[in-house]
Amino acid sequence: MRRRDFLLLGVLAALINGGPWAFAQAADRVYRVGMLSPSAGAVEDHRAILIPELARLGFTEGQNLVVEVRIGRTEQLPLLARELASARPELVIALGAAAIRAMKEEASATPIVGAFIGEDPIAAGFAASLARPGGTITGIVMLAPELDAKRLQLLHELVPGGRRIAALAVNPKRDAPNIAAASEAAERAGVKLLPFYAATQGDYRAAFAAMHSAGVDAVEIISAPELFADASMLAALAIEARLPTICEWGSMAAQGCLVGYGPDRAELLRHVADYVVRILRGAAPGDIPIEGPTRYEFAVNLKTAKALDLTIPSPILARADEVIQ
Amino acid sequence: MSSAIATPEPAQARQRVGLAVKFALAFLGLVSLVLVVNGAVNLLLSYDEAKRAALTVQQEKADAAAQRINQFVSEIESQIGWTTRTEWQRIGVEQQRYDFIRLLRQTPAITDLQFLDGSGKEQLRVSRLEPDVIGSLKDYSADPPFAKAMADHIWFGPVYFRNGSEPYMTIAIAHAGHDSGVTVAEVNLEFIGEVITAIRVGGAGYAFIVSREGRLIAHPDKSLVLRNTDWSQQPQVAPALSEAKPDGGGNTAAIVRDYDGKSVLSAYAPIARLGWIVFVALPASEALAPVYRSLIQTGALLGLGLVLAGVGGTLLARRLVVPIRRLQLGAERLGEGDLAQRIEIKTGDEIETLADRFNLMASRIQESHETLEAKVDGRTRELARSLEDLRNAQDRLIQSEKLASLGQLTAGIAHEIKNPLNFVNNFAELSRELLDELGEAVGANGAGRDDGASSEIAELTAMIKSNLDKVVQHGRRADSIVKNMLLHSRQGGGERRSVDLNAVVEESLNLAYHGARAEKPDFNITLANDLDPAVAAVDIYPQEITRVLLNLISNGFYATHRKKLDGGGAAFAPTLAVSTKAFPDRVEIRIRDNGTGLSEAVKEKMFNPFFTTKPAGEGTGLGLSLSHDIVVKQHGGRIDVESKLGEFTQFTIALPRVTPQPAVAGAGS
Repeated sequence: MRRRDFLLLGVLAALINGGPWAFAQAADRVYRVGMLSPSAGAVEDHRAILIPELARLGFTEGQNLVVEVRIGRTEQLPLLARELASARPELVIALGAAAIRAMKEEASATPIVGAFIGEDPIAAGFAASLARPGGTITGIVMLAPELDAKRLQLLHELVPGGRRIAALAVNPKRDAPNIAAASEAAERAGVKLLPFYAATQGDYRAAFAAMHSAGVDAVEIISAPELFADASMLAALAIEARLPTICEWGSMAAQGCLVGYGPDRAELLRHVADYVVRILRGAAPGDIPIEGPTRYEFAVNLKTAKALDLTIPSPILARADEVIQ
Repeated sequence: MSSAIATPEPAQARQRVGLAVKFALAFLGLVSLVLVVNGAVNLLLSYDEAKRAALTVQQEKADAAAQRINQFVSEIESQIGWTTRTEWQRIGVEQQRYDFIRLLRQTPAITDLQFLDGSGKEQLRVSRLEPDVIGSLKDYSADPPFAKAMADHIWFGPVYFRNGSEPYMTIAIAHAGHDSGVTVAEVNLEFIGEVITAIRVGGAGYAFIVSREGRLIAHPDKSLVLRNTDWSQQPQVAPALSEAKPDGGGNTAAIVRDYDGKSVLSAYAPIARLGWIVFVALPASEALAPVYRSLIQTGALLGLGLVLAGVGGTLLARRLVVPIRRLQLGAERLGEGDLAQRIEIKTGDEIETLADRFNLMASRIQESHETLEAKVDGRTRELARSLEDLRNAQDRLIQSEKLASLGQLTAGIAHEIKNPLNFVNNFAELSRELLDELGEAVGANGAGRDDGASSEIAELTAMIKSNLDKVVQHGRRADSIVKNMLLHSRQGGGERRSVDLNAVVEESLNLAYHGARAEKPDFNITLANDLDPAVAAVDIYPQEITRVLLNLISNGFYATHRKKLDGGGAAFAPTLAVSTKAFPDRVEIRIRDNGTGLSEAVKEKMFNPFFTTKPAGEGTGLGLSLSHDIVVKQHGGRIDVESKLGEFTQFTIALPRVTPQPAVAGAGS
């Protein structure tokens, strides 16, 4: 009887020890996550939210998580994608459609979390549908061209008398859909959209100079990771050029843009962490629906407005979730 | 007694379970039965109650969740509501747009707002994503939002999925006043997901919403919603779709399998105006935790009760059994023969009574045992005496047989010897007489003859005479022996008659004394007689008894004489006392002398024929033997001797008053 009790205790002890032991084994495993981005600043911004969120969900960088980051210009992305694939990551977070495309081409089996998918993923061939992507790609879709169009309307509202509005983009080919959508909106609003391109930071000044010489009344910063990363530089140049700006994200207003309007970036990035964790825990990316943003941020920088001697119309102010004084 | 010991042994072999164990088991069993029944009933009741409570709580949660959702929608509704007031149509379109923008800002769930005028023309459209539109005047009058809202004031459109993924709903609210237009809002239902996620159902429970068609509208796992999940066939949802009550009355809670296959306690509440059903689900294990707790409690209580019952039963059984054990021990010891065993039990109950009865029984047994032993002792003694008597009788019988045959032999021999002895004696007498005559003849004839010759003749004649005297003397003695032998063998002589025993005794004493004096002139003795007159006449053979007395008295004389001769001293006064004494059934004659006494060896053999202590020629050795035969065999009496060597000898003859017929008839010659 006594012996049997001991046996039972032993079994129980084994079970009790087995639990944490099994858990420890899982925890001992190191997960590799890749990041592919055309912009170092965007990566920084992503990491600032992603890494703590991942840690909160049980994946701590330096403990059981290794994040491999590759940054390069659009044309370098395929090479970097290959490099990343050779490190055999569990998944790759791709920033922007170009990175997704490069990653998909170079490592077709590696799960990709798009953060964010800047164009229609079905049209781009990334997914069969939003509800069931079916392939290796999932993530958060941000219909950037649509929003660029909306922003153009808002920008026009800021400068109702303006005739010419500049659009700053990075890569003429890559950013074509955004420019097209903005042009359409401009046309509807009865203004002319003039696209300007700056492939590198060094090109910004020249681009603004060109805008100035073109006599534009405002500038829309097109959705692009690079431009997001260089927001303060661009905002400063815009103020210098006395041009009201509208930017892709609400947070960019804090960096000097007159208006920042876009999805709640922090929320989206936290949600990216969910995608990462689900895939790390074994979910197939093809089973995870691609989501769009639900919350939007609208920020107005009154300091910039003051610097530009601009009065913000009340419909714009009414939209603002955040007003930077 | 041996059977008493033998009987319990098989009983002990059979008795494997002690009374204490049985009693304890019975007690335990009884208590357990009560506890188990009680526990089972309790359990059943508490299980039912707890389950009912859990179901009720679950239903309440479902109702609360439905209310939350309803409230959420109502809030949106009321937010839209302030664009539908009467004065709103009177303000300009810019102001209206401004209001819409504010509405969008306040209500993140609304993505698009549309104002249709009273004829269903689009006057204003404000969107989060799309460029705003003012005064497009597109005709929406035929569309359900307008038509239904105009008819019912408010219309909740069916859930639709934008891009085949995101759930949306249209809410259309007619403006106040006649044909004053409709505000149409597109609501992103993903925000309801936040509300649903925020609804806490227990620890691991969750809530979700399906449309009346079974489409998932909101769920904590957003992916399920975005996947446009159809749960109309799901076991948790299907029953609700078929019987969803419009007013949500009654309890819908049940334990079912959820989409994960887990067992959950699920309840739902419909939101009638939206056509939605809100579900709340709680893992069955969690929902029924109170039930299990009560189960464990009842079980623990049962266990405790059993332990207490076991302890109580054991203690009680011990209290009961200890006196029984003592009783048993007492009975065992009694069985082993300890009759003095008593059992001391003071329990004041039946066992004490039993012990008292036992003690009573033990004392009875002890008593009867003692009586029995006394009886056995008495009987044994009697038996021993009878055996000894029998042995004596047997000895005497053998003796008599011996004597009878000896008597016959003796009689034969004596008879044969008597004749030649007569010849010897007669002729010896005759020869003596002839010698006398010879002497006279010689004297007469031989007067002149040589003196030498005659003296020599005389001398020879004297010698012959003396020889002949000796022959005569010894011949007589031989004759006497033969005569005695004949007497010995010829018993039953004389006739039996009633005589005065005292007279017989006196006569015998005189006869013996004078006889002895005649034989030995110097013989002297003091005689004492003490005759009991009560003896009177006794029925005896007088001759025989006289012979016995003479024999015994002369023996006594001889003994005293011998003692005197052996140097008894001058002080020694030979004495012989004779006494008689009468008893109711017998008379006793006692003859006592103070002579040499008898040694033990002599005492043993003195009644044997031919045994004598007298020197050869003085006794025949038949006197006492004869006396014994006469007293014992002829008269059925007793002859006893007491003696102390050198002091005295006392013979006691006891004669019954009525002499039984002699056992052995005297052998006649």
